[in-house]
Amino acid sequence: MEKLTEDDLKITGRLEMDRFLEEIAQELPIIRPISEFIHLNLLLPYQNLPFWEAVKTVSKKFEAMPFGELDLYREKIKSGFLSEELIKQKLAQIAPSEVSDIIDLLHHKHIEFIHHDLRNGKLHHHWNSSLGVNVASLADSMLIKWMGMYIDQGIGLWEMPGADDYSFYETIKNLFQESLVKPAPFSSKNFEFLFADSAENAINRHLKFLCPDPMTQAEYLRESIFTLRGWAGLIYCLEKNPTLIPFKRKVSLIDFMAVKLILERAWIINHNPKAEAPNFKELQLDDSNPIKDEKIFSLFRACQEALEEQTYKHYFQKLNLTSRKEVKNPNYQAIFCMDDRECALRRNLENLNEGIETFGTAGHFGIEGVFQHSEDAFPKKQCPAPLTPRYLIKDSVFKKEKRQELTHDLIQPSHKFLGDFFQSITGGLKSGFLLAMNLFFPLAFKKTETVREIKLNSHLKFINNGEGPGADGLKVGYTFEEIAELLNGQLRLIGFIHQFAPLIFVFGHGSNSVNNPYFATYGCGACSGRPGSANARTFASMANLPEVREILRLKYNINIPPTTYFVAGFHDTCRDLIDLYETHLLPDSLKPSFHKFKKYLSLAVYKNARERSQMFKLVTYRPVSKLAQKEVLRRSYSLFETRPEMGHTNVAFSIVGNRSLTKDVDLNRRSFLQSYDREIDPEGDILASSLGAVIPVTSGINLDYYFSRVDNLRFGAGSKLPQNIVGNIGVSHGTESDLLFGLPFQMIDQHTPLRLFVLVEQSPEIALSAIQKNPLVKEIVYNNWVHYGCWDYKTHSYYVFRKGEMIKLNHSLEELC
Amino acid sequence: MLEIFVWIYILPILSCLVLCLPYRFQEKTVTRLTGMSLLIPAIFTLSLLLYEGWLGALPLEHNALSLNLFGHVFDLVIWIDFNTIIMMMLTHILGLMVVKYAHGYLHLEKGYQRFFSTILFFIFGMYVLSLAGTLDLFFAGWELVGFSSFFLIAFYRSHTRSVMNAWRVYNIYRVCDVGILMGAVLGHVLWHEATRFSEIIQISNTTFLNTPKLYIVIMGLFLVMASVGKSAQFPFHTWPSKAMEGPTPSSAIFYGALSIHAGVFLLVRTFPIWSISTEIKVLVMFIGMITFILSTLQGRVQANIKGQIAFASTAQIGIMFVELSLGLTTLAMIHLFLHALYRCFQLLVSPSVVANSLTLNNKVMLDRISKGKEWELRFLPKKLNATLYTLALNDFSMDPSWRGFGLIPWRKAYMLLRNILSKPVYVIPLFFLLLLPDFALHRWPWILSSISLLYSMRALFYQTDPFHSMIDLSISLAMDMLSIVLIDTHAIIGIKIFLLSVIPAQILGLYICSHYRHLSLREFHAMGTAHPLHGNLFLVSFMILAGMPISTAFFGEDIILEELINHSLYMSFATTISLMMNGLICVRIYTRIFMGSRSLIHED
Repeated sequence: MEKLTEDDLKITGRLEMDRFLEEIAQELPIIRPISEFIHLNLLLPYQNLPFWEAVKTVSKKFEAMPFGELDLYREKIKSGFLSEELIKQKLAQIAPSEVSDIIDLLHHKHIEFIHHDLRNGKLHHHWNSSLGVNVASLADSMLIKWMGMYIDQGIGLWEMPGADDYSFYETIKNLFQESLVKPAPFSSKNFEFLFADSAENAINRHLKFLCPDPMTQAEYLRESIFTLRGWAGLIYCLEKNPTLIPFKRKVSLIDFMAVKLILERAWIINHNPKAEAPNFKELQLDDSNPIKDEKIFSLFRACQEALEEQTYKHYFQKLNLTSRKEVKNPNYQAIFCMDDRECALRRNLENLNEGIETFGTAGHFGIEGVFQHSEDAFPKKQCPAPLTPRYLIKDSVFKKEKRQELTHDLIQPSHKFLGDFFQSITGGLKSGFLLAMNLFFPLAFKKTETVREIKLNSHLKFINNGEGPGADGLKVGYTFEEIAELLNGQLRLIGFIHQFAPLIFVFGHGSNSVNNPYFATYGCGACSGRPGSANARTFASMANLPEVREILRLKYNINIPPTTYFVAGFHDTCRDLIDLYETHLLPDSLKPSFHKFKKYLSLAVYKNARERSQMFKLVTYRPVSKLAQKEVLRRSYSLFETRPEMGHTNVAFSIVGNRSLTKDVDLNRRSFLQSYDREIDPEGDILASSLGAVIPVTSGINLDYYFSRVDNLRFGAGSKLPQNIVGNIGVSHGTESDLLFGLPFQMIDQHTPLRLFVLVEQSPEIALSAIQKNPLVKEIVYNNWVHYGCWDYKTHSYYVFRKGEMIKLNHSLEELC
Repeated sequence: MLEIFVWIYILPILSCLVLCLPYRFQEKTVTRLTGMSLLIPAIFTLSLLLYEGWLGALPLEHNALSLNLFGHVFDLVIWIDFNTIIMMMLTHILGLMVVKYAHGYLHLEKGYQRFFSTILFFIFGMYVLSLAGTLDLFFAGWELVGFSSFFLIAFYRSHTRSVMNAWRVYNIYRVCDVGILMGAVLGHVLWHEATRFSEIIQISNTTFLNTPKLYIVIMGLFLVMASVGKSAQFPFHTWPSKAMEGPTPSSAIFYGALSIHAGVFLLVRTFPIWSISTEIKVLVMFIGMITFILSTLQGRVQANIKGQIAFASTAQIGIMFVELSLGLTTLAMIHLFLHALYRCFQLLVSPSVVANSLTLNNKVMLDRISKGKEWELRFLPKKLNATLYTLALNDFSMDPSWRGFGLIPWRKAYMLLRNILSKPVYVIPLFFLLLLPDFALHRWPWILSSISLLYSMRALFYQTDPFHSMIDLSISLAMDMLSIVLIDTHAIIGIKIFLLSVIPAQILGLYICSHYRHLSLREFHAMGTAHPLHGNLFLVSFMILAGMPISTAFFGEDIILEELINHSLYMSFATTISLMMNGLICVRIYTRIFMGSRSLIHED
């Protein structure tokens, strides 16, 4: 048993420690609670570097594969989509002296990429081999369990005593102190010594023992954090945004690290009380990974750029550039989310009737709100992740629907003594029956909850009647002035300020699938991964208020005729079903045309379902038939379906411009479509604000898919099949692994890794100045995380962004990127 | 009808062999084949029941085949009673459902075919186990189940932790295999042939008047030991939570539904034997109670859903143990049936838990908000509450033993022995002692089998390269055989049968290991991806050496032990242990050389 020494009393302050950890934390993956899933660039910490440089750095650091495998490109060459000439061209720019050498590699080289196990770093390995046991793994498995239980958001059945009030370190310390028996590596003798009075003291005390050499201490800490980078990432994220979880927890990296070091030391003492730190000499890892070969890197880069160029060219040639086709006197107008999944639905809808005009915008419709439904445990944030919600909107259900429940009472074991006994006796046959029905007749017995967020018959309260601020300082509802301002901003953003049709539809979207921990990734990204129906409904109701229309007319010069009526709807992208809200309030005069539109809708949705079911690859399903709708429904209801919908799997473009540019063009669900009218934006201010939202969000989605696809083991979450839900906040492989991040294999296996091309319909000068107004957008575009270009209607040609300038392309679109 | 059609039950293993061919079948073909080989036996079972007039005709006993190996006859006896029907129904229902589920779930997954062939292997094991009419046949099914379990935990072969956990679970399985093997062998002593379940149910207190009660108590203890390991009861009750490493459907059918109940089924089958002794009944009740209490507490502090379900399972099985100890076998079987359905369902829908808890209806969330507490916790003083919480959170400090710390005393003991034996001062007198004629003749077999055990231990705990490990294994086997020959010439038939398949397997194993002499067994090398042929060949050799019922080694083992036990309980026990260790040695080599990901991880 060691005694406190003088050294231990000299404390490096918490602030200093915080700063140090902060520095390390910058490199951690950003992980949010799984129900709050947001697609983010998985290399976000490196976004300040140019794309290729960042990729190279990271692939070396984490031994990750930064590109699609060579076979992907070879296949494209074989199918004739990609030409070898193009790759040579690209190579000539990247490595002019070695073109022929490198091309040879493409033909012959078999590249085997080895993923080393990163869980244990060099320094920890030294400890392990000197002791003969894996101390870090022992410490990690306990730490994971403790942290999981501390942070737990509704799976654990016995809340950790004190977790509500104290930080992680204090909670664990108090708990064990109170306990009459100390758990395994601790003993009542060394407990006091190991758990120092504060987390930073503990770190100081144990770091000195675990790694006496002050020069390598930082490295040791870094290594410790990175062996659990999933958990560390989540903790760091929660430390910065504590409101992301409903049951508040005081987590911090410093606590996490302190407990980890304590555990490591405790296990060392437990194993050999006299153990001394080994001499940390440099230990060489197997350095044979091919990616470190500069030539192979160049080859991959050339292939990737060639593939991107070829894909972009293919679609750009399809765009409708000749004339601006305006819908004259539209009968119906519909505002959709800009999401790439809505792009096919819009096309199908417009094809049905000349008089239908559609728009695309971010799916939260400008409402920065938190919604609380009468049946929800907690209010839910329904606006893009970076925004802080300002308004609280409540809804109440008029008539309680009898809930259809499949799993609610059976899904979790009851751990009341004997409770589970009765549950298994009474629920055994029922669960067997439910399972059999779902597996063999998924549609005959649809007893699964629809996450529609709003019941069809609920009542929204979004107008402020002079109430004071509600919980968390949120305003309860909007005033009329605020509503008018919001509507004005939204309508101008999409260039929709005149020519209002009598019926205007506002569609939110969401996705219903069962047994899918990643359901939030299929939701509306602009609504923090939740269904956007609440936002659509609020928006439509707002626009229907006569008081607001009055203000809009007088103050903002937007004249919505009194005969115009807004209807909110909800598109379920997984089931391809559409719900329309509050249709009973519709004026009688509009009813006939409304019913007609409903027919169009169901037809369009059906066509959409058929297109989608063609893309699914499950061999036993009859792919295309009249049963398309049934097919997508079955996917959504089947418990065993790991690919309920396609998600953003085809994403490659983001087009900001008038719909006429893309109208009637089959973009194969590849594009985000943000409506924008260059005519009302001569200065480019609207474009700048539009891009400020579009580029970070869509590039986040794209790069999440990109990196998850190229190296599903390092950047992605691996296969979905063995995944396990931890504390309602994350997934892990089995019961004692680190948290997984990125997307699972099943979501990306059909994705072709391509960077996003953001195309705007503007002149090159304005397009260039628009990206310079927002530092974040500038960083992304200048560092080539997306390709950026514009279509200039005046000179009638494409421009692409390259090294700070917009460069004009010739008609055959050579050197597109 | 039964006579001919009973062979329908080998359909799964035939399909399994087809799927093991080095040919990539289409997913559709794989599932159709699997589905058919499960559906046809299911239909057969149903029609058998109808034909034989439901339960009226039960129990049925049928001698399906008499296998004559070098004059030694093995009877493949089938025994169908109410319990068989329950197990068979479960296997049919859950097997079909899980195959249907996995068909969609594993779509496009690497190892699709491997998964289904393992499931088929497992289902066949369950058929054998449920239908077995003798304890020996039961053991065969038991082995098949344990073996497939290892492969499904280590389904993701490149995940070091999955492989590690699979190896640890296999360790526990081997421990319980010792139990059932010894139980079966002791049965031979009591009945002078394989233990038939039809005879077991007829025994009463007077049957064994001639046999010392100690034998029955020992046999009962061995059987309880076997079921405690397999059904994850105290002190092994934490393993199911660590075994949740494979795809969800495999976890569901193994640790939710079928495999984990095999121990309970064994106890039901052998109830008349162990219930003779009140002490064992009390022991079973005690084990059940303690597992129930500990698992319930541990289950409450699991933040991950699969872990929670795993502990819920062991808690329920604890209750089944209590029911059994009270003699309520029918209740236990019904409980088993309902519980298996319920738990399997729960695991299969476990990914829904996130979406589920977002609504207020979720009872856990509601409890949380209302700060509801279990009633028994309200009365506990704060200190006791914290103690219970701490202990439950840390698996009652039993985690280290699971992680192989239990092996440390063995390794230390081995090192100590080794030190002693390497010093001539100790060895030479011992050697002279052995040369004394009347002493040696009696003690040689004893000493040889001890040496064999030492070599097994050396291979398992000490050797760091595969080749030497295999050589030690061969020496250990040779010593064993030698000692058996010395003690009992009757066992020579057994040895012949045993060596018939073991020698080729041994040579194959040595040949393959000689390629990897430079690799250390302390790390994982993932050679399976680079040299799949070596991996698969070694697998075959390992299955034979581990005494899987796929070769004559299994039968040879049976005969040898049967003959041995008539002479010496110690010798048969030592031989059983060294045979069990052989399996572990092989699996250790297999996991380290052919599985895992190349890493610096350094374990056990």
